[in-house]
This record gives sequence, structure tokens and C-alpha cells, in this order.
Amino acid sequence: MKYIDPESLLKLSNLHLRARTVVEGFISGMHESPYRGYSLEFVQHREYAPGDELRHIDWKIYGKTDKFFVKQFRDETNMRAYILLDTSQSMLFKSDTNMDKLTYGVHLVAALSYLLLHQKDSVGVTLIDSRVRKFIPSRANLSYFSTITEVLENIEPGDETKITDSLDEFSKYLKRRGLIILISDLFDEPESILQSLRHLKFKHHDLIVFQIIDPAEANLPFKGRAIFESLETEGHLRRQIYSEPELIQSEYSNLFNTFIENYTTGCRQYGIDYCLLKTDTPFEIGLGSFLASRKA
Amino acid sequence: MNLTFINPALLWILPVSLLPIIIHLFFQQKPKLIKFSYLKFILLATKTVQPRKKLLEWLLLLLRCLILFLLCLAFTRPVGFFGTYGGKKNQQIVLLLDVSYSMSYSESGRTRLMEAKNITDKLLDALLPTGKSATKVLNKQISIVTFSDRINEFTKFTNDINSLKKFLATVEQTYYTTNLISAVSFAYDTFQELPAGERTIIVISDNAKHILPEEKKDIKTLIPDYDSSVRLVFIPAAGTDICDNTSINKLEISGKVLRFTSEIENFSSIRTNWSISMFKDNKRTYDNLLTIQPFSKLNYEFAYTENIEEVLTGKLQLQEDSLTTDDIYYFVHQPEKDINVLIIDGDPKLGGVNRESYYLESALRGETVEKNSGFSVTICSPEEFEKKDIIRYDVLIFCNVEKVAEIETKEEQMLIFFLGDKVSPEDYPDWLRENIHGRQKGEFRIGSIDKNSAVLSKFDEFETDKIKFSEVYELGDIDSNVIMRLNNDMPLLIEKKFESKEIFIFGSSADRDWTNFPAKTFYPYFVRALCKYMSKTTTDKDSFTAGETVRYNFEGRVRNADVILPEGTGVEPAKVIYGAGGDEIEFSKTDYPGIYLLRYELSGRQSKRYFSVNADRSKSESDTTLIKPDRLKEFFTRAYLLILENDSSLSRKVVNIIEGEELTKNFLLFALLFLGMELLVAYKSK
Repeated sequence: MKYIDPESLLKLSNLHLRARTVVEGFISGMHESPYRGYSLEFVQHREYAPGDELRHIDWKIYGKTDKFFVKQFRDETNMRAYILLDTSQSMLFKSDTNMDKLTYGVHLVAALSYLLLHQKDSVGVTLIDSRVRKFIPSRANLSYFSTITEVLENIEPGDETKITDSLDEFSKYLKRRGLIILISDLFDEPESILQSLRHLKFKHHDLIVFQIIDPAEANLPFKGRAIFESLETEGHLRRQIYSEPELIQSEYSNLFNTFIENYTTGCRQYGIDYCLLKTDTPFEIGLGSFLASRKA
Repeated sequence: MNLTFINPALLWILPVSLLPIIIHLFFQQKPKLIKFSYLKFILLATKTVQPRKKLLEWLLLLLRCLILFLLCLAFTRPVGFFGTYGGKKNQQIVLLLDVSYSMSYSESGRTRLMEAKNITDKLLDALLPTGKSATKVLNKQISIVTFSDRINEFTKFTNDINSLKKFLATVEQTYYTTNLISAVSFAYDTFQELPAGERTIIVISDNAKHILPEEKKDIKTLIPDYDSSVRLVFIPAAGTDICDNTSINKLEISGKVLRFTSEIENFSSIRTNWSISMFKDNKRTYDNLLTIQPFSKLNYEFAYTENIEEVLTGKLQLQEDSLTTDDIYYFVHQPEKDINVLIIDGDPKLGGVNRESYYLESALRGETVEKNSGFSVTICSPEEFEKKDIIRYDVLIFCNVEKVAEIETKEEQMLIFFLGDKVSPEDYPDWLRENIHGRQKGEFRIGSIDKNSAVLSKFDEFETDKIKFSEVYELGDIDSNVIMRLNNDMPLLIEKKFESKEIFIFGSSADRDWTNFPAKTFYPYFVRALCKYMSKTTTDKDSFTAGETVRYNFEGRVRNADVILPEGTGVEPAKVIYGAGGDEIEFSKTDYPGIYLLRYELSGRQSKRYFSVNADRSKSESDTTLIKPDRLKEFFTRAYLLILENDSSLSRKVVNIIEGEELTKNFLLFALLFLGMELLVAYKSK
């Protein structure tokens, strides 16, 4: 299967088209959808009441009984999905020709939304940074995708990353259990983030965590002497550190791997699906990971 | 620890050892600003790793600097003295003290010899300390050798400082030139008499260019015992490299009217205006002012018109400069005796301008050139000639004489034959007849003159093109040298020796009968040159260089010979050597420049003779420009050679060299060790 690399995807004109390209390409590539059989299912009849849609009146019953009855079905969606996208400043980092993490995240959100809506699931999108920046409630209508893409296309980066606070705030918006998809670089304290995720899990939510990182964040490939300036502000100041990347590269990689390992181990421990994505990774990998977890 | 360097000139490369730091500080890139998402791990890694890495980096930098520093130091060949005297056995030291005349060069009122003695005194104090340190001298044997172009004086090897200092006090200036090679060779010879040990030759001289021969020669051929392990230390007693000296290199006096021809050389870099004076018997008789361009020679001539009947003694003196020895040139000039010429005129005609010998006489008496010509001329007829006592005459000129009988001549007497219409060759002796053939008429010119002949050495100064001959004798060249040829290659003037006779035959007439030669300017010079030819080798030498042995031969017995030294400083006996043909006087105590008077009794008659002695100017001794260190090193190949500055640390440096060790190998070893460490640290830091 040939994946569409993120860079070439950017050449497509709008987000809607990009999401569709990703998802349809992905589905057609799989030949068999694991979600076949999900369809609307009749449950019972009830007497017509004013306000009911006329298209739901069972005209056969009216012919037999001369009374109006409407058909009742199961809920319109199988699942409520809440996609949380981290829009903090650190998500703006990019190296070389890769797209920045936020753009990558936006595409991933769009693709997942499209996929879920296509499957008649209900999807809502929440933008977070140090708090919940925007909450779009979940809907199962495919036309709702346009609303989602409009929001995604107009994202403005927020403050510093405080995932824990954001998750705590987000949990107050949740009325019913569902699937929570967190898309972030998770550049915060792993213990506190995992604690918050565990808290959501405890409330019977399904959780998928997509950690997006730039390849340069993993191996620090810079040469010579450098002054590293933080993308996120602390108050009004940006922190700066003088260092020589070549000297610290090995130690940095160890620390970063431990950091990733914390999330991998923690998520596994709490039954949370975890997927590490680098911005040079094709989106299909992310979608594949998602669907594999759903299938299981 | 005290360090001294064998190649101190290379100390300037030491800053090279700072190169790694310079590269580190000035050639590092400016840090670039990188906007990064999460600094926590960079901060942690930097805190953990960077101090250690930085430490390794600085260690590397330090090691690289050290390696370069040690390598640079190794190039300078350091000698270290760790403050322990007497650690080495048998230190043998020869102090070569230059006493040549260039050492009388004066700077700030002190001569270089004074400075050299002062240096020697300090070195003796440092090398042979007295009092509590007296035990430090037991391993040392020191000899002082004074040298010029010869070994003047020397002491035996000793560590008795008092005897060495006593000797040093007696060291005096000489008027000889410098020959360092013979002095070093002598030092090697003296070392051979000692048991094995560490040997050092310390040369204290003006270190002028003239201490070595101008031509580069293999040191092994000059000094067969040359040993490159013997340390050679040069200490210049010269304060500056400036050579403020002008010298009278030579002086020749010639002519009846005395012509002084001197060569004066300016060794300095500036044009000098010097006064020059001539003193006759300490009385100033001539003065002038000279201008001499830098580094150039001037041939200065002047005439002394006073009539000299007796011997002339005196000195030519330049204005005093830093080196006064070569400002004075002493001279003795014996008055030239007239050359007695007898002209036998075979065709006197009516006398006056018509006689055959008229032009010859004019040429010799000087009527056409100068009045006092130096010739005493007598004219006679062939008949009168038979009655003449020919022993009195130096030159006999036969001028168109018909018949010539056998002639008995004395040694160094010369016969010149001018031919003509009266000559009857068959009536000449065989030794003449064999060279004179038939007469030829025509138009002849001078074709060539033998350039190698001493007779007519300056013929180039005259025009000979217009000299014509209408009739000549055909001369044969049997047993003879042809000096002049006609344009048809026929000999015109031949020279031959027969028994004790020196004979010249001129193929044409002495008057204008057959040639226009007597009317040309070349003629008087030609005749005079012929007549003077034999008188050149007869003069005894009366000018000597300091140290040269004076020898005079006499025809007879000599007794009671002695010499009055210059300025009446004393009288020294002269050595008389018996000889079968006559005695010889020999005198060798010509150490000081000046006028010497030799007194002797010859065949019972009291006689005297003056001679002059001057410092030898022939070997560039007057040029006191310092020798280049490279020249010394090139000459003494592979030697452990040092040139030390005469400064306050001189004694310390010399002690370092004598007592210390050369540390080049140690420094190279350390450099190698640090290189190994550097490689290790470099590997670790990666």
C-alpha cells in the first residue's frame, strides 16, 4: 500500500479534500471495512406526536389501523468521539522540510473526523493549550465535517502546554462516555498527564493518545554552538539555553527516549492506546493505529 | 632550574604554542539561535554532559598547547642546570682569548680586549667559585689561551683561579691578524693531553667576519682532530655591530719625485671625511682632507717634492677612529739611485739632432717627460767604448754600431742593440749574429706587443698605429722571446739571455733615419721601460708586517747586529747567520708597528738600515662587522655551538652550559607523551 506522505498532502487545496483523500485512500486500500454492519436498526413503533418528522410515519400501519405511528430506531450513532488537539506554542516546531506538529495534528484531526463521520459516528473537536481553548460538541451528521474543518483551518496557536489542566477542564464538558482522542506532543510532566488520562479512563471513556513529535526533537541533529530559545513563553519571557548539541546529543537522546518510554509504559499500564507519530510519518500510519485499536 | 638555549634565535617561534587557543578563541563560529519546542531535556543534558565535555575540551587545548610549546622549545635546544655543582666529572675548558689588533677597537673608551678580559674574569669567578663553594671547582680544569694569527700565550690546565687571573692580568694587545681555526685546533691538541671528560671551548673575541676564512672549507681538512661533541661557546666582546673604521690598507712610494700611492678603505656604512697627514720623523709635512664613500676603497695619491738624498722614514696617518691601529702606516723609503746608461753611438755625424743617439738621450734624460728622470746618461763613440770601465754602467745601448767585439758584462747588466745602416752583423759576436739577418725595405707598422712581457706592461696607454718603419733588419727568434712584432709578423724587438747577459735587439734605428718612432710619445716610455727592466728586482724589502721575520743578506761578514725598537723603546740583538757567500741578519721581534733601525758592522764598517713594521692589513682584520651566527654554525658543522650575548646573565648561562644537561631529547619525549595523552582524551571526548 502506498502511503501519501504529509508533505505531498499539503499540495492539496483544502483540508476537506485532504481529509477525504487520506481516508478514502486508506479505506479503499484496506478492501474490507471492519465497520461493515453498522447501520440503522428498527426498534419499535409509537404513536405520532406533533413535531415528529413525517418521513418517519409508517404508512403501512396507517393503512391497517388508520392511526399514525412512527418508527423508532436505535440511536443514530455507535459512538461519541471527542478529539482533543493541543494547540500550544510548542506544537509550532518544525525542522527541515517537515510540516509543524500543529499542522500535522490538524490533518490528523480532519482525517479522523472524516472517517468517524463517514461511519455515522458522532465527532466533537476540542482545542486545548493551557486550558480548553475551543469546544465543538459532537455530532454524527456528515455535513458537520465542514464545521470541523472550518474551525481547524482557523486555528491560532495558544499558550504554553498544560495538558493536565486542559484535560481536567475538558472532563467537565463530558456528559456521556465515549472515545477520547488526544493529539499532542505531550511536552509536560508525564506523571501528571498520565494521572489525568487515568482519571478519564476511570470514567469509562475509551482513550487514544497520539503523541506527535518532530524527528529533530528526538535526536537533536544540530551542529556547532547554539542558543536554544523556547517557543513557549514563560510570562512574557522566552527561555534561552546555550549549548553545544553535538556534545549533548547522546545524553539528550537518552533523556528523550526515557520520556517517550514513560508514556508508552504508562498508557499500556492504564489500557490507553498510545501511538507515537513523527511529522515525517504518513497519516495512514496514525489512522491504521487507530483502527487497529478499535478493531481489537 | 636555569635554562639556556643553544639556538636562542628560535625562541621567537614559542608563541606558535598559543595557536590552538587563538584558533579556539577567534575562529569559532558564532552560536546560532535555534527556536525549540521543549528545553527541559537540553537543559538537563547540558548540565550533565557539557561540564565534563568542556573539561575534556580544555584539557585537549592545554595538551595541544603543551605539545607545541615543548616542540618549539626542543628546536631551541635548551640546556638546563638544576643547581647542583660538581655533578659531572672532568670538565675541561679552554678559554680562547682573541688578542688580534681588531680587538683594540674602542667603544665608550674601552677596547674590546679590555671587555674580553673582563668577561674572562667574570667567567673564572663563576666557574671557579672560592670560599664555601670551593669544592665545586674540583671537577674542572681550565686553560686560558691568547690567540691572534698564532698562539700567543697559554696556561696549563688548572683550577687555581689565582694563577689564571694572574695570567689574565698580563694579557696584552698584539698587532697580528686573527686565525680562529688554528686557535681551535690548538685547543683540541691540548685536550688530547688530558683524560676523557666533557670539553668546552669558550671563544671570547670580537666575533668579526674575519675570524673565519672567507672560503667555506671542510672543517675536517682544517682541523683533523675536529670533534663535534666538544662544546663551542662564542662570546662577543663587541658592544655593537657598527663598524666605525677606516683603514690605510697599503702604501707604495715610487719615483725620483716621490709618489705616495695609498689604498684607503671605509668599512662603515656612512660617508667619512677624514684628514690624512704625512709625518717625516714625527714632523707633519703633508695634510689633506679625504671623502670616502661607505664600504668603498679609495686610491689616494700625492707627490712629495722635497729632494730626498737619504733614507726617508715616517708615517701616513688618518684621523683617529674607533680602531686606531690601522689608521697609521709606517714607511721607509730608500732613495732611488740613478740608472747609469752608456750609449755607444756608431753614427755621431756632426752631433746635435743629427747624431744617432739624440732621441735616446732625450728620452732618458727626461727632456721630453720630466726633469729628474732617474737616469745618468753617458755617450761615447765605439772607439771610446773600448777604453770605458763598463762595470760602472747598468745599461749599455749600442746604437748603429758597425762592429761589436766580445763584451764581458757583470750580473744584472743589460745590453740593448739598436740597429741601423752602419751595422755589419758579420762583425758582431755569434750570439748576436745568429739573430740578425738581412735588411728589408718597405712600409712596416707595429703589429703586436707581447702582453705577458714585463718589459712593456703599459703599452695599451699609447697609440702605436701611427708608428712607421721604412727599413728594418730581419730578426731571428733563436733562443729569444719576441716582445714586439711588425705587421708582417716579423720580430721587431727580441729579448734573449746569453750566459750572464740580458740582451734586447731592436730591429730598426734609434733615430729617425728608418722610422718616425723616436718622434712619438711612446718612444721615451719604451726606452725607459727597457732600461728600468733589470733594476726592478734589485731592491731589498724594507716594509714588514707585525710578527714577520726580517732578513737581510750581505756580501761580507756581519758583526754586532742589533735593532733599535720603535720610539726608542729598547734595543734587541739581531741574529747573524753565517753564509758562505756572505752573512744574513735575522730579526723576528717585530711585534709592534713603527720604524725600526738595524745597526750592524759589515766588513769592519759601521752601517745601519731602517725598516718599517705595520699591522697586517691584507686579511680584512680591519673590517669588524660581526660574523653571522649561521656562518659559524655552517663552518663548525654538527657542533654543539652557542653564541651568547654579553649581558648580566652571561656567567649564569655559561655555568648552565658547563654544568647543565641538554634537554632537547627530554622535551621531545614529553611532547610525545602529551601527544599520546591528547589522542586518548580526543578519543574519550568523542
